[in-house]
Amino acid sequence: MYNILKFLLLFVLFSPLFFMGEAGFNWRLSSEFPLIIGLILQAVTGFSIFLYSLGEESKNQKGIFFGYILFFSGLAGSYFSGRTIYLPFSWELSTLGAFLVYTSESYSKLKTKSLISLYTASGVSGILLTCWVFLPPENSVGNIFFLVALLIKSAFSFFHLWYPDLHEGSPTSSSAAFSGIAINLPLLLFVQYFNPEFMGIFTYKVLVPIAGIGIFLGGVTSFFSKDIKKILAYSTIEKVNFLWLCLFLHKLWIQGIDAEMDFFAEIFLILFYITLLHHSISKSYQFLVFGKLRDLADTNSVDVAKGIGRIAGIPFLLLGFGTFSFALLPGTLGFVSEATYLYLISRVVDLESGKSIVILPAMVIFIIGLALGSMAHIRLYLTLTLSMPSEELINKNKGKTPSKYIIYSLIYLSSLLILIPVFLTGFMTYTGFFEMDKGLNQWFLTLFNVSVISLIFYFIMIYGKFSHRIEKRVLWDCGNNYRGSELSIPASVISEPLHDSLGLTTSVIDGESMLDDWLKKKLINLLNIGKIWIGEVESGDISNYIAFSSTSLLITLAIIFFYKFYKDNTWNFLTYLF
Amino acid sequence: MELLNLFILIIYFILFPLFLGGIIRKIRARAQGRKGPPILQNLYDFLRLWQKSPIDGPNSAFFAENAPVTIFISSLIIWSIATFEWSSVLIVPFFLALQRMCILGFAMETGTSFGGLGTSRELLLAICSEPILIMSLLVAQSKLEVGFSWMGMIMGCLFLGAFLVAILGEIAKPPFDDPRTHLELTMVHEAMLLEASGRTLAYFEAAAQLKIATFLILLMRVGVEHTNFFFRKIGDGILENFIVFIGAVFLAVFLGYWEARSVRRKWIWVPEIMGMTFLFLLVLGTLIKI
Repeated sequence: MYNILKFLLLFVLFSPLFFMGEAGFNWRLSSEFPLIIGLILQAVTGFSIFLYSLGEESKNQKGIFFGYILFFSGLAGSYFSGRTIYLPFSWELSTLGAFLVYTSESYSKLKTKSLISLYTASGVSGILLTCWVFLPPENSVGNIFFLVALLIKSAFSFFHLWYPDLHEGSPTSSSAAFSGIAINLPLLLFVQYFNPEFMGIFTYKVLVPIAGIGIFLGGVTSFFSKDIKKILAYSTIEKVNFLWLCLFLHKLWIQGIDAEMDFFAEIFLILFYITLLHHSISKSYQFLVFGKLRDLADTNSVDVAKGIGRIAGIPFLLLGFGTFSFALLPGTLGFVSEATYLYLISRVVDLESGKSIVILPAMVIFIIGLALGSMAHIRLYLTLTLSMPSEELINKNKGKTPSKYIIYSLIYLSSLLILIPVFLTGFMTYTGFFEMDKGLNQWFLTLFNVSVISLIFYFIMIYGKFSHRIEKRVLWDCGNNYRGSELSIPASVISEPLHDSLGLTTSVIDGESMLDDWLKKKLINLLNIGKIWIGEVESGDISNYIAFSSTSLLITLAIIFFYKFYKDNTWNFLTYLF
Repeated sequence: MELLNLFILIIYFILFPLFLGGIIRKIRARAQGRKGPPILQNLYDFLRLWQKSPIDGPNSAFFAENAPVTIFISSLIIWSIATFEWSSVLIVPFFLALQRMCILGFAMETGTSFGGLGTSRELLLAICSEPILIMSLLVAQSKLEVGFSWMGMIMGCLFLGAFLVAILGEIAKPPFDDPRTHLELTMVHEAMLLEASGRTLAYFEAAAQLKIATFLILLMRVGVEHTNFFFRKIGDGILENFIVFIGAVFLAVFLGYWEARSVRRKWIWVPEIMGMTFLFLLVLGTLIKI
């Protein structure tokens, strides 16, 4: 049974790639390209989740595999279903699959909170998607529902309140699957199905700064957070907002309202795909690595778990590839993505008209958010893998070795992280698949050259034995024979100096976002309006409940009635009558 | 003419990193009323350290063995970009990121409190200076040009001044860092290198000299290449390059004097001054564009 489930999971991951041709998918940018990319990313990144799951120690291994079969079938179904009722159905199927994966571990408060977050977000977006499916294509309300559903599901700025809670208590492999794979779906559905003219130019101009705020606050909160999973969750929010920013700018400028910006419409779409690729692979990697370390330390606190990487049985280098990508080291996927963004800004500077005066400052400010996001990953890596662990942690993990499948999973993803930049930039430069001007083509050639040089350099450094050897190691004792753990610094020491200037102004106190807490409280207050009636139903009589549900139904009908009344201009008819 | 230009650039490429750091030290000493070390003292130090085997702490591992060479080679790469302009300057921040990752890893790996303290400070400096540096390099990459007029000169000098603030942070100079103090509690860059010895230290010191040379040349290039100077059309770039490199020597003199007369400011002041510089640069950039 176990082997059949393993085979089925592999089938679910890879078979959609073979069905794409049957479904008539077209590779060009303007056709089903987003859906193809989504399915490829799901197969490529999902395989690492498969390997990791093989190495996980759980009593309910079959449940995990069955859960992932449903999860990935649901996602694949969502890509294939188009604007049909199968879309919300498949969407919910993936949520059900995630629930089964959660059953692999015993329940805790954090885990329950995580599940509630997942179901709330999926439920609300599922209802909105269903409305969109049944409303006529040109209906503006349907399109708004569609957009809101995607924004919620992808944790866009101010719709993200559920997202950190989701990761705080979810199992390691599920976190990687949510952040690296599931989050691609709403973004790619937006590219595929959202007609740019559905929204006015003003709406785009409102959404772009909101995405910018998300990049900035996501980066800042991620940098100050003290929870391993929340650091990665806020980093995801920061990256997702950047992806939305690219999409909004693409959809705004593709409408041809300004000939000067046509070039940027296309290039922002290309940047979106590159960043999506980077985010999907690098973030899955980070969640798998740091999730594993979190599990070993059995705590979410980054300060308590410091140095756990040293005793995890996984090589330093293998623990760091995701961080290196987010730290934008030359030759990694993160480097290709951010370097292309910088190149785009440099093109904005050269715009003939005065538009750059408006666009440039915003784009440069977004860099601060992106830089902070990168630093958050470096801070996490330095603390968890390079600090010295406490005696308590060492004793707790004595004799524990990671499964070889977990190592394989990380080797597989790290190979992708350093090989894809070479192939991607080479593909962009030499195939002519994307229509690019000479300057951009030259830029990708530069990135290709740097990626190749860096790859060769890293290879020589690590395996060519060209690095210089330290042959003598001595303890530089200051008197008490300290060996590191007493002296090594926790993560908060790295972030605290910036707290007064950056943390307080963005209301991040003690690693928690006060803005998010405030928004959550207001939302809960809004939902608690119904509690006003609680005093009336203290008796608990069924008749009272029925009365209240009938009243709710009547209020709903009244709203619909008055809306129709207003919409059909029936008021005018009444003025004629009287 | 092109071959001659290339030949001169190769000479600059080899000689400048040897001299610039020495000029800074010499001027600093003179400004303080001392004779100071020879101009080539950095080279002598490098050769002396190169002959010694490195010794490190018991906790050191991957980064201790790989970071020094990686930092040295990436410094060499960005120095070659600044000299020969064979690639876009937008690549420079990524090689700086590689250096930063390596030096942070080196400092943390040994597990000393000073390494950790230096790491924390280096990250703060990086967060603060990176946006200014990127913005300045964006201008360097662009086709923006200020006119050879009083207004153009004032704006250009203000811009270069802001760029210099980020550079001071990057090359570990006052008011952000003070390599002279040798007092662990006030150091940033040096605190991370406390465990480095022998060849390891030689690589780090050589990389620091290359970095100083790179930034001084980049600053001069931005100043010269984005101003409508008459001499840019003379001599197929030879005169332009000559002025860039001579200007870098003057900048080194200025830095030496600055280092002698300035001290490291208190740490909480760093984010404020960097933030102000960033906003100033944004406003100035907008004015230049207008």
